[in-house]
Amino acid sequence: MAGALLVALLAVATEVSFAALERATVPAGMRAIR
Amino acid sequence: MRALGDLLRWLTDPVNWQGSHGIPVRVFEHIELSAISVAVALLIAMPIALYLGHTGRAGFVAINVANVGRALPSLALLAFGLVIAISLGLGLGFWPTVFALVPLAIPPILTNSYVAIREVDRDIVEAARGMGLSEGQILRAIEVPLGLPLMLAGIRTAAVNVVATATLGALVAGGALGRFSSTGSHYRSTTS
Repeated sequence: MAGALLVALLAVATEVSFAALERATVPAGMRAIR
Repeated sequence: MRALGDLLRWLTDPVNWQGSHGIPVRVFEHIELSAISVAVALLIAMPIALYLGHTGRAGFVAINVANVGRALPSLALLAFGLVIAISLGLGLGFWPTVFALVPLAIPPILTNSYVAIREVDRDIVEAARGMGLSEGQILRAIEVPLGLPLMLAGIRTAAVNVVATATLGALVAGGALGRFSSTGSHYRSTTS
């Protein structure tokens, strides 16, 4: 269960860090609409 | 409630946070495994997607072939990766897992990047061509910047898929965070 929790946390961290990367590299008017 | 208590006890036990089998080492192994797999997938998928997206040639076939990776179960890919790694003399653990994760990461990167390049307004591309830009310049200065949001979305999807699936590496004697789950499962089956 601890392993699953750590993997889930890491997946969320990956998602958040890529979202931050997208925010940093793409101009505001060109971001993908969600 | 007992399971949650056990979880908290395990997470707060200092023994689990140190040594070569501690949580920080396993997290680092997991990140290393995932990063290398996504990097290899990027090296394979991105040039193909950029070329096909720019030229518009055989895109449908390439996308459908790449999407076969989505249809294959991760465990089957792991078994396939194990066979390849052993036949190449790379052993158990790290490389079989990489061989299984790369086909998983290729479809979202390839599909999103291809669509990102194809969906760039053709009028802009034609205007750039009319101004004398070479095909390489059009790709670098027009198509990639305009398609970047969709390309990054594909890389993000691939990275999250790979991080979640890298857990299976423990089944082929790999490290990473899946090791905690497999060790716990073995412990439970031998003590109950």
